Amino acid sequence: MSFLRQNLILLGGVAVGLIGAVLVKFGNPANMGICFVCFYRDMAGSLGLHLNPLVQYLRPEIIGIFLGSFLAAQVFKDFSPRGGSGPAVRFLLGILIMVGGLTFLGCPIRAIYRLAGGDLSALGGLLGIPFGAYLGMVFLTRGYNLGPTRPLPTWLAWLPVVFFTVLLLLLFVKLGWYTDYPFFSVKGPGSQHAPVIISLALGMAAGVLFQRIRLCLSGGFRDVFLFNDFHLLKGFLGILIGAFVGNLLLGQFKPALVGPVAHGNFVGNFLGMGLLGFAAILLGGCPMRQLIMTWEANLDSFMAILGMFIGAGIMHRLGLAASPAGIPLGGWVALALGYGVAFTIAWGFSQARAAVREGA
Amino acid sequence: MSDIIIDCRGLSCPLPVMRVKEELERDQGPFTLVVDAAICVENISRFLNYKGVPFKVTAKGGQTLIEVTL
Repeated sequence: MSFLRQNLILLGGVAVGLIGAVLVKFGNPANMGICFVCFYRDMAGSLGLHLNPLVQYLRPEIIGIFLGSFLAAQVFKDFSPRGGSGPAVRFLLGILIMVGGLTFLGCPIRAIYRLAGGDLSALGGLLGIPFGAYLGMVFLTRGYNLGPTRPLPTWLAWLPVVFFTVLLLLLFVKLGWYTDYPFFSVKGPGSQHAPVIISLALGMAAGVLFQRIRLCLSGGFRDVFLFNDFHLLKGFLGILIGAFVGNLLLGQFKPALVGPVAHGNFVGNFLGMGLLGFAAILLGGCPMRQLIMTWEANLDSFMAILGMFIGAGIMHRLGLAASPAGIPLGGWVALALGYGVAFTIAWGFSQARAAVREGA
Repeated sequence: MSDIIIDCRGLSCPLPVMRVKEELERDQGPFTLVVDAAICVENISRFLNYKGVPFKVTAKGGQTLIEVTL
C-alpha cells in the first residue's frame, strides 16, 4: 500500500501517457495527444485571435480537462476563489509562455510525448526546461514574489466556468449547424483530431488525474534544484513510460532526428523551452498547472491562460511562430524580447520582500 | 502553539516551502505555519518528511496549521 501511495504520481503519469497515445491513434496530430501550448494556439485560432488556417480547432480535450479537474476540485474541496497576486504580470507571463512554446512547438508534456514517439529533436526542448527553471529559481531564492493572493467573492469563481462553457457551446453550435464561426481547419494539424466525444471523455479523465496527482514539470525541476526532491518528476517519468509503451503497442513509435509537427533547430528548441520554463516558474506552474489552478478558481491563473490565448494570437498574427520549416527571423526577435521581459519581471519583483514572519 | 508564526496564506507555489526551509536553517526552535491551499500542505508535509522533522497538521476552518515541533 505504501508503495502505491508513494508512487501514485508515477502511475497517474503512466495513465496520462497512455491517454496521449490513444488520442493520437484516434486522429490527433502525431505526438500531440495532449499539448497545452498547441491546443491553446488552435483554440485561439478557432476564436479568430489569429487567422492561420492550418491551426484552428476548439480542442475538446482542453474543455474536457476543465470539466474533469473542475469536478475533482469540487468533490475534493480544493475550490476556493482567490486572486489579486499581480494579475497583469501573470497575463504578460502567459504571453511569454506562448512565445517560448511556439518556438519549440509544444509544452513540457508534448516534449515528453515527442520523445516517447521517437522524435529526438524534443531533447533540445527537454534540456531547455531545467535551464529555464534554474533561471527562475535564482530569482525565487533572491526573494521574487508577486505578492499574496486574496480570497475573492464566490461569484467571481464562476468566471472561468462561464468562459469555458461558452467554448463548449460554440463547439456544439459548429458541430450541429456547420457554422463558419468558430473556425475549424480543413487541412494541417488543426484538422487532425480524434472524434469529439473521445477527446472530451479522455480529456476529462486526464483532468481528474492532473488535478489529483498535482503534476507539474517546471515545478518538478524547481523542487529538484531547491530541495533535491524528485517526487514531481516521477510523474513525468510515468508519462514517458506510458506514452512510449502506448506508442509501441499502437505502432506509433517512429525514431527520427526530427519528428512530425516539429523542427530540428537545437538552439531554438532549447531557448524556446527555456523561456517557457523561466516564465512558468515565475508564474508558479507550467501551462497545464495554470489550467488546473484555474478550475480551482484561482483567477490569477485564469489571467495567465488568457495571456496564453492572446500570446498565441500575437505569434501567429505576426508570423513569429515556428513551423516544421523552422523559426522565422521575427521569431528569434520575439524570443530575445521575451527573455528581456522575463528578466525584467524577475528582477523587478525580487526587489521588495514582504514580511511574513511574526514572533521572536 | 509556538511563538513563531509564519503566515503562508495566499503565497504561490513554492514560496511556502521555501519559508519553511529558511526557518529550519535559522534553527530557532518550534514554529507554526498558517497555510490555505491543499497543495501547499502536501508540498510542506513532503518536505518535512524528507527532512525527518516532526510536525502536526490541524485543519481549522478554511486554513491549515502546521506545527513544527522539532
